[in-house]
Amino acid sequence: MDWEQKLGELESQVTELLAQAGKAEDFLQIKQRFLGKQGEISNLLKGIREIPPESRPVFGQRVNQTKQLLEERIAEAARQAESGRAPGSGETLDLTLPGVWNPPGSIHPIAQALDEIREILEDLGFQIAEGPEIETDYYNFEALNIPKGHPARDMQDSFYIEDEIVLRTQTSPVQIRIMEKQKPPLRIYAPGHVYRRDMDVSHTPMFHQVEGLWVDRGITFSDLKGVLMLFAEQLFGEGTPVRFRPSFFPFTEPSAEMDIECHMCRGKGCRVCGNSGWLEILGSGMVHPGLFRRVGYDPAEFTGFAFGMGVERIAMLKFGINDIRLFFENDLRFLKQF
Amino acid sequence: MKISLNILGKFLPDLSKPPGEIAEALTMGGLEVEEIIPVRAYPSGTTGVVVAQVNLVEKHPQADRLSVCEVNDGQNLHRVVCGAPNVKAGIKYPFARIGAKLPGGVEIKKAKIRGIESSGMLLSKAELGISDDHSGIMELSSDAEIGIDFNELEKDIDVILEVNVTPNRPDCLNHLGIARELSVLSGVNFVLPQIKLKEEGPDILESARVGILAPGACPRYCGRVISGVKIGESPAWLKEDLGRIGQRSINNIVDATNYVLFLLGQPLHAFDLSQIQGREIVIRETRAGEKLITIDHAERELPPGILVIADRERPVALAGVMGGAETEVRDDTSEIFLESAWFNPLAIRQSSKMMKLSSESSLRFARGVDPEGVPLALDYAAMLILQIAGGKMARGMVDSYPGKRPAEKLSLALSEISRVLGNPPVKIEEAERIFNSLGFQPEKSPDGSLIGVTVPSFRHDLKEPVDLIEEIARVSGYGRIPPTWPGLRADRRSLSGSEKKSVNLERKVRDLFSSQGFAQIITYSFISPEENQIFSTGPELRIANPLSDQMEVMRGSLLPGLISTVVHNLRRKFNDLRFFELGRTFRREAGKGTEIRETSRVAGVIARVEPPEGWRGWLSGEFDLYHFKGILENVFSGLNVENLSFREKTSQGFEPGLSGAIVLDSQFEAGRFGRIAESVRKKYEIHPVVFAFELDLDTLLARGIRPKKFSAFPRHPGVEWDIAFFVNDSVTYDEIRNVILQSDSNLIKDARLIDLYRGKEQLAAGKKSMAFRIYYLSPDHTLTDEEVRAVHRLVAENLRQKFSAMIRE
Ligand SMILES: [Zn+2]
Repeated sequence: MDWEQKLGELESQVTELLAQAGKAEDFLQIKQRFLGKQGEISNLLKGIREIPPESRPVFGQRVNQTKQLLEERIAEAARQAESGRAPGSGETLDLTLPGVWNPPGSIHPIAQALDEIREILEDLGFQIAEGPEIETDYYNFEALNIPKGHPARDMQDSFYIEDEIVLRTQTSPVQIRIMEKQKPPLRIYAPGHVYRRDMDVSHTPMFHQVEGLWVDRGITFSDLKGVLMLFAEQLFGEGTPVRFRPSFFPFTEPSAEMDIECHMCRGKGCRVCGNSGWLEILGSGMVHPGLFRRVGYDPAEFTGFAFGMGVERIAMLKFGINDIRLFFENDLRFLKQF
Repeated sequence: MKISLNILGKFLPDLSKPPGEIAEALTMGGLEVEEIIPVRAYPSGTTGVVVAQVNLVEKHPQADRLSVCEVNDGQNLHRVVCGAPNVKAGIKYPFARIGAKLPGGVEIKKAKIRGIESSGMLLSKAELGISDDHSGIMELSSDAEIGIDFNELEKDIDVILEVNVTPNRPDCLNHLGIARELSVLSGVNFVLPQIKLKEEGPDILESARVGILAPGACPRYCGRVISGVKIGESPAWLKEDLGRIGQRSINNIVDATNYVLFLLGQPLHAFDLSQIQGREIVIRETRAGEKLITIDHAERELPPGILVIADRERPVALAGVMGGAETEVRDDTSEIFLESAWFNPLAIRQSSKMMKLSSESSLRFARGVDPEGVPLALDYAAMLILQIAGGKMARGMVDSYPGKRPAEKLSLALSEISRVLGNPPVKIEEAERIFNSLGFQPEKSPDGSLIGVTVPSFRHDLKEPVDLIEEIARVSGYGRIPPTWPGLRADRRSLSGSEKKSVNLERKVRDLFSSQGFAQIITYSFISPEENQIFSTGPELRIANPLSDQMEVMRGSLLPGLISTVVHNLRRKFNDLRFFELGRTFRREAGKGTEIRETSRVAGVIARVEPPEGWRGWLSGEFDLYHFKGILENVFSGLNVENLSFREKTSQGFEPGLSGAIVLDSQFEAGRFGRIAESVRKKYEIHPVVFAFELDLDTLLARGIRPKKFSAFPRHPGVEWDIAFFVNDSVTYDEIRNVILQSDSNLIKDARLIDLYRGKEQLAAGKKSMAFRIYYLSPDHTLTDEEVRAVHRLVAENLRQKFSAMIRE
């Protein structure tokens, strides 16, 4: 057969086959059959020796032209098929089908709330500190002005490993541990698990707290208010009304509870805030001089403030979660929402 | 603590603020009011009941006892049939219109009564649920407006405040204390109630004798004797007052002592004097083997050394905690000894703890009552008893006060106030005013720099100058202290670099796992011993007082919590479960006694019900150990951990042969991974295969994380050549790859496994077929075919020599 004729035939064969092709494999097959190493074009080129030498350049040129043409046509047809506009048979593209994906995981809402708290505190210059979850009676109580028999121990029924070893009931022992090691100025925060022997609709025996401590010369209650107001604004939104009211913690004096205005009722009073219009967010106060004396700071030289908050409570407010027990059930219907 | 505004009125006669303002003042003074509960005259629960007037009353033609009335409800005139004997024209009554609902769900409908249609109903108190009075319909006052809803007629006859009293303020666990505070905080005048007593009986010393043998535990003991009392029900007002503050009425004597407890904060006890042997009251510590039947009729063995009230022979009450049944006031009691004492808080705390008993009395004694208020409360109670139970009171009072102490004095430097509270400084006049209002009797030093105070006997919480500063801040209001920002005064030196690193690592780990489809969980640190044993060895760390046997030991591994979470969610029909938890595990250091080690870990599980759900599942086909390993490798690569290897090793709870250790620098074990043992899955009744890992983050942080370093890459192109061969099945991938890489560490940059095949024939011969793609690259020139061929041949030669590999051409 004349090679010119043969080239024309290959062209029409490809056109015919492309019209029927739809799937990606089809195009691959066509490409291989005509353009592959063992393909029709290659075979044709192998016959170059039978061509008279003077015709060989023309022959080469023509074959290459055809090769290029076929390549373009196949590629174009494949492109068209892929974009769903392919004529003829084959799979039609349905872009409304869900993508095949690796189902996403999730980050626990407590961890997310902690992140947010952490970022705000770090922006305010607080450095992270950590302490053990299994504490000695000294750090958890004694050093915090809660000697044996102190009524404040009644408020916190604790888990004991043995006589002097407790699961920490608060993150406050970290304050003492750090102050024992470092001299002021000191600006730290300590997140972590705490444990209380209490389990009902609004209590879980383990929960999370974040503790903060700032000690220096000249730190005042005014500073406590300023810093914590800033904290509340960043956590709950600018302009969030806050109030400070007297409270009692054995390790601070004066002590203050910080409330934010209830975001559900905007202070009018509702079920969420127990009709008070306010939501308790954190406990705080000026570090009791007794703590300073215990760690060897001079209370006449240094003052400081401390604060502590429950992370569950903040996560509940931020995410609108109404049952604290959900955090520890680890049900995917809950976890997947975060 | 429930506080009645009516009762507060005894101390604050001018109190007229609305309850909301009173609550606000207390809350902002440190006595948080948690709830304001109005006490209404009439229980509501009706709808459609209005005030109506009866215009006309006629006899029912068919029935003598019934009347037919014309009723004006402000909208219409209604004809109503009424059976009440007291119905009169011109009087207003509660009237239920058609459709009204009464307490208990009764709905009023049109009815024909003896032939006459009645459209509505005039109501009695019983029908309104106000009382059990059925005798007639309820007359309303003539100024009640016709047509208004009956509920609007109700008035708050009292308001109860639920006050949260902090443990430092036991003086506020009663109405007197709250009134005193409210007077300070809102400026309302405070008065003590008047006490008038008649002493008509013989001298008290003829009726009873008191001896204190334990003056340390009982610094003050007062008593009075009343004879000829009549035990009975309390008057209605007393029952009602007690009811409103949450107390049950028992009899007039007990109610009187209870009332004084909540009124003045002083616990009292009344003994039936006829049951006190020898009329002798001895306050002493228990001796060995003594017993007491308490008023809850439980016979209790008394440990030696706790404080009791005894008569000549035996203990008759647990001092300050609970009375005894044999000497309690009974229906036939006629002579009582009324006790009012000040017990040492530590003594009461100790006996309350040892006896596992607590009461309203012990709670107050344990926190400290007012030693100077002891006789006042006694007299108040005596007055009340004489009033409601009759009798004659003996002349005089027993007042034994061996532990009297001078009043506590404190002094405060004025400059300290602003050092703690900040600016603006508090003026000395302001401090004096506040201390005066609190009853501190302030005295300033001549130069005005110091202010001295006398601590009132009821304030046990004022111990140092800073406590006085709190009083100033509290009374003047925290809101008046301006907020300030200390700016950059504290420097930002890093004190906790390692903690910061570990937090950052945790965060990175968390993000990597969640992006691999894992959901983060948080489980309790305590689990059951059975669960703990599944994945941990070594001595367990038990909680001495666990909440339940499911929470008895501190976890030695995070895996039990993860497995329980899998079980929980499998029950909820999820079928691709991936969880991870970041947290601490706990163990006792072997041989170190009480030393406890906490380790930060991350652990995770995958449980897949095959085939995965979806129109084309992700990773369709069998999910096996290599997929799981791939996920871990992915995370490690994200953490930049390169010096790790996986080594076959079976650890507790994992399937032998399908699990391993995660090793850093070929020697430090940092964790474990693999398939959870069949036996564990059976125990938990988990159907799908479960893969799990657990990794020690502290070890990883110490040895695994290397800072990223850029290495320059050659600009010359490299080439990839493949090599395929048969080799003994026992030779590992790692061994082969190392031989390939070491054949020319200069030119060979990488070798990747591209095919692994174990056909029947090969397996029969104990062989496998493998193919590697080797990446050749020279740092300084473009490699020629000849150069590559030479090294490639060397690779083949090495494989032949080391592993007797058969190279496939
Ligand atoms: Zn609200």
